[in-house]
Amino acid sequence: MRTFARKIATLITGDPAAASAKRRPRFTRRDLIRMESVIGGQLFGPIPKGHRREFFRLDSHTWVWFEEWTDAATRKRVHTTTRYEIHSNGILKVQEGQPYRFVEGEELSNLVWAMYRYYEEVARNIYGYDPATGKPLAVAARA
Amino acid sequence: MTNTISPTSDTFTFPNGYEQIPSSTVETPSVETGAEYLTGTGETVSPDIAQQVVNDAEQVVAAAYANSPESRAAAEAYRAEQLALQQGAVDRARAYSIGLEDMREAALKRERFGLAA
Repeated sequence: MRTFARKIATLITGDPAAASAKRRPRFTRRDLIRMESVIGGQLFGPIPKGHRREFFRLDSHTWVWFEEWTDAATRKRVHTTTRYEIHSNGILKVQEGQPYRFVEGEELSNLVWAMYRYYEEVARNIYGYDPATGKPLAVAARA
Repeated sequence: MTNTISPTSDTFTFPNGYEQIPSSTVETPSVETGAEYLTGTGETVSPDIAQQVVNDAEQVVAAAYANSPESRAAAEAYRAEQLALQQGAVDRARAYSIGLEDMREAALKRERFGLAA
């Protein structure tokens, strides 16, 4: 009886295994951040051999620069992380062991330019939006 | 101040600063361990602390030019210019961040509910 009921249910709702596979998310928030960081890491020109660079938007007010490389003297892997926080009075640069400071001058111009490039590339290549209009690329192309 | 970045260039490098970042042991993790950050390991600097950074910088200017009113006026003018630039930068950075957040959330929502793109 149970088998029959299951077969009826399968007829109505489809293959449970397929349905289960359909429900399984293909990506998570972290996956999206990882994909974005691949684009972000390439915005600043060639990455030196042996370096790993990530630049990504973590949330709506935090951007992160992560860089890892092998120290020539010690042969050990070292890394550094810089966090850029968007505050109402500026963009605060946060690094371990360094005093907080607001980004200024040329560094600020460069950072905002990098954010702009990131926005353009990520919108277009990951989410499929036209960065100029904010509309899905397919819709933008039809318009 | 000249901006060395050309909007037409395909790639660019930061002329200073970033490549000289000293190696250090940091608490804020990379993407690979980003979940720790998202759950609060790397806490955002509070607005009070951020304001304190502004105040400290202003005090440094005031102290450095205490005996030179003209130089101090020039330094304060520079700081005012920087603050205006920062406001513009904040507005742009926020716009990009919020736009990207909307796209990311929409993608996750589509994923969660199986909605068509």
